[in-house]
Amino acid sequence: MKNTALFSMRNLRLGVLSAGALVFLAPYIWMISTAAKSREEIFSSSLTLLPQHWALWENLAKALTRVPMGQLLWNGLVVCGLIFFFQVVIAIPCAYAMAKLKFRAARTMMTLVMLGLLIPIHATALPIYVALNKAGMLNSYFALSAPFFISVFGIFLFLQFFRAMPDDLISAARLDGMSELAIVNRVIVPNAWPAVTAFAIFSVVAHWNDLFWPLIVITGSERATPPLGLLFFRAAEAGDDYGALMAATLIITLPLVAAFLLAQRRFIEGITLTGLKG
Amino acid sequence: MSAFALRNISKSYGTNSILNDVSIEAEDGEFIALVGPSGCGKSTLLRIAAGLDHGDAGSIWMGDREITAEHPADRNVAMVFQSYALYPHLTAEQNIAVPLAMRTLSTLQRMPLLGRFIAGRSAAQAAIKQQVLATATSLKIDHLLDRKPGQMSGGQRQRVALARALVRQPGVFLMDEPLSNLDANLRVHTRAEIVDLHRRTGVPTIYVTHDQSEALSMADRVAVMMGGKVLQFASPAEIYDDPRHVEVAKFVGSPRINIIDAVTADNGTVFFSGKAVVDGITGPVGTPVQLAIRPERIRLRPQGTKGIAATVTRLEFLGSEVLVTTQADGAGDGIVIKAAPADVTHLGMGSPITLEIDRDACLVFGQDGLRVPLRATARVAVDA
Repeated sequence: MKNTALFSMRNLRLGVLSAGALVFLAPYIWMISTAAKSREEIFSSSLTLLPQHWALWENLAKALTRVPMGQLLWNGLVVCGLIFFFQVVIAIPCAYAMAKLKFRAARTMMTLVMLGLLIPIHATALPIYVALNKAGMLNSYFALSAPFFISVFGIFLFLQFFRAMPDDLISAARLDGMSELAIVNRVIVPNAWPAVTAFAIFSVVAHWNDLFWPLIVITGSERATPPLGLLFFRAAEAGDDYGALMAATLIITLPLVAAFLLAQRRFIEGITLTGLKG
Repeated sequence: MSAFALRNISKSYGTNSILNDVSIEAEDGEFIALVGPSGCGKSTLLRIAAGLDHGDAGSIWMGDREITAEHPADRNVAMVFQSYALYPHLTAEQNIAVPLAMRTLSTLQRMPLLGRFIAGRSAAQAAIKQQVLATATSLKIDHLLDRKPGQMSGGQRQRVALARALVRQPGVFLMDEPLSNLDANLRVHTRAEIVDLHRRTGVPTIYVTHDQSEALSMADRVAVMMGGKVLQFASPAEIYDDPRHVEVAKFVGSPRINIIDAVTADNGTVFFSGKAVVDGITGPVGTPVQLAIRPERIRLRPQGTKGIAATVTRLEFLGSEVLVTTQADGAGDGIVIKAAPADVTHLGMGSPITLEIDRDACLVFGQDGLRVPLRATARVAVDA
């Protein structure tokens, strides 16, 4: 009897989810396929998923030699690292204060955070650009990362997480002789790893893939982030060499994919944990 | 001079008064229980004592030292929380060591890597380890020291929390319902252990609970709190036998005390079900009063004997005793009597019975809830 239930709810659910997954994966799969095809094959009229002549290595070689790929990846790493570091250093104490301390401006701050969540970067891009330009700081890591140091999203996410932490724990820490700073360092942060991990995904993915802001503040390739490097590559070198372009895209998306696969379980834990508590 | 004292503490949030001129003091080595229904302000009072919250008025004293304005850590108080509040990321040993490390090691010495190179750290740490082990052994948790709170049972966590409080040798112990997260069996056992621990250490203890039986059985003195006020602060026996307020009488004792609404008659006599049960009440005739009688102070007599006629409406067998609910004229919700099982074997639902009530079993409370004093008059017309 067990085997006859082909159209059970479980199989139906699986079917729907698989179809959804396929839709989301299709562009990426197509990208890999294109990266492995030669130029002639890409422009041929027949559409095949598997290339007839494997040209993956040629394409990868072109991608690695025609743009300073190492420099691009390094820039991406530095910018994402800087942004994430400062975001956490600023957002955690801020969220702790708003979640667990009583002070007069708490309500106002909450309103400001909510307002901050509503304003997109595009609205503030121009004034920030002008300011950076006047300060002569365009084309720098600082220009790439500084506008994102204060993440209202991060504050909000940590705030929700910290609110769920028991007040007794903080009272106990105060009785044990900890200062507020020590409470953050020794009690809050060690117990906030799920939230930090979840926030890391959002932050790093967003800024690794960001094209909008680097396009505004960066003009040369020596400070270009990976997506901007790709854009330069396409405009200057490749023209219509989509195989090499896709190979380059493959290279710059690889770190994120690898990081996700390695820490998959922790990532999902982090998201579901904050999701439940938030 | 008391070892620890809270004097005239008041606290309100906006117009909502939480504590109203509350004074509690503990002598050296005394065990004080703060008991009351939830929302009576007992936990707030404890938090004020710990320095985690601040009163609007009043002062806190540790011996002859005023600590009202001191930081929680400087007061040398230890608190055990209802949720235990152990640090989830630290082992039992590290948890117990935190208060000592915060007190004896400098900020530099506590640094994760750098601290290793600061002079005197290893000696201080060895001393801490020694103390932690001694405390853990005295609470029989030395085999749990390298476990994290998540790997321990409720009872074990509770002991670790006690150890963390004990290890700093505090001037006063504050406990906020430490047993309410344990199952019933363990609770009675741990109750005795906490009392033992208190006897051994001799540290004055303030113990907050909503469970009146816990308060009566553990404490040297009990403060019954209601609506932000201490209604009575006395020994458990006095609280039980001689309550000063009708709310105290109702709150303490299980099953609940019987309350009968009545009116005083001539000569300060109170009638219940047509029989005079108490006399000698001061005040004008016709004053409404509440008559309160403990369930074990009423005796069951066969029908027709002198006393108050009633009918059995419910029998609850509890093993060592039987609770008999009876209905008598003018008794409202019925009268509960605690009787020995052997005395009620002949009773069934609807059995007619007579209740015998002694004059000195009756507590009389006025409309304001306060006890009405009885004049020691000759027993003129008491016929129940």
